Amino acid sequence: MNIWSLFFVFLKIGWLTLGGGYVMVPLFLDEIVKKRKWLEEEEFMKSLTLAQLFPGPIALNLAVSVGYRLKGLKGAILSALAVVIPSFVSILVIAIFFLNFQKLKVVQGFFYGVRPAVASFMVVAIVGLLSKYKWSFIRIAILLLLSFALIFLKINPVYVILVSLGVIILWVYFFKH
Amino acid sequence: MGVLLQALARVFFLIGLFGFGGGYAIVALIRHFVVVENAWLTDLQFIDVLAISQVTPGPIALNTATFIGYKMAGVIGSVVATSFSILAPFILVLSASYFVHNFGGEKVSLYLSLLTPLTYALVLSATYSIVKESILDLGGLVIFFLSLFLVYKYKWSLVKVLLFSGILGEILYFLFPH
Repeated sequence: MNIWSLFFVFLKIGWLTLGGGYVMVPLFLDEIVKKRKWLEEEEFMKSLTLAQLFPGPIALNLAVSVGYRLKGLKGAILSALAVVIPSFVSILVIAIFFLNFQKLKVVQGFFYGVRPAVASFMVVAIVGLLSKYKWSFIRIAILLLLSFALIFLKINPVYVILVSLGVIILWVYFFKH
Repeated sequence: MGVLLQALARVFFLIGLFGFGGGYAIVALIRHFVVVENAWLTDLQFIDVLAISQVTPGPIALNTATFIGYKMAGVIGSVVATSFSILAPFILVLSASYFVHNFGGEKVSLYLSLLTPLTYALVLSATYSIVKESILDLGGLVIFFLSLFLVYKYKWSLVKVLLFSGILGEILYFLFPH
């Protein structure tokens, strides 16, 4: 496999996936593991775990991780670019259009209708996540506590994230050794 | 670098650095920096960008970086915001891939399962603010429940629902001018 075929596979997936994020994961699996057999499924899952563990968009992290595994630093850079380029180009074109035409009644009417739909997508997403999760008393308590801090106390999410990470690391260190 | 470009670089670097959980979980973080802290977008404009990023390729975090960068400082702004948004994840994942054989699989999945309530709380708070800001009148409420119904019950694709609700919005907007 040469490095450019790696780049073009990621570029293809990048252009094809509207919405981004988790939508890309099955496509990566299909192209890289099943069709081209560049990685074993187990290797791929390891990269996916890494991608989820670290901050940043899953699709980008997965591309960097797989790219590095296959072609080292160059592979990681080209894979990251391949994920970024479709996103960058399409949004730039839309931003230029949108910012010039957002005052038009037609555009305003359209977005007036689209906004509640976006809200409904978020509701569907969170309901899906919450219903699949294995609940325990302590997890519900933590979720409620964190949500309360974010929504009603309006605490900066950065602090909430930092404190949570600190607690998780300490908890693992003291109770899981 | 100008003051504005520096601010864009700093904000999107931080969004990349603290963007745990990906996707909708990053939305709460982006909203905090972009709407609450810097007022680069209003809540309504922010929801418009989310709508746009549902129908364009690429992760939401990258889409918003490009859009806001362009809005605030033109093409250079979009390049700066986008590249700084991927800087931290790129370095972190790259170094982790380098050291990957030192990770015990069990430990990683333990950390992941412990992170889950945090990710969900972030998605929940983003959902709360977006629902609150996007449904401003009866027409909005009708569109909200209608699209909820179409996605949940009839499994319409998000693109189809956005198109449908956009057209419905046009009609309502035309019949009841704001």
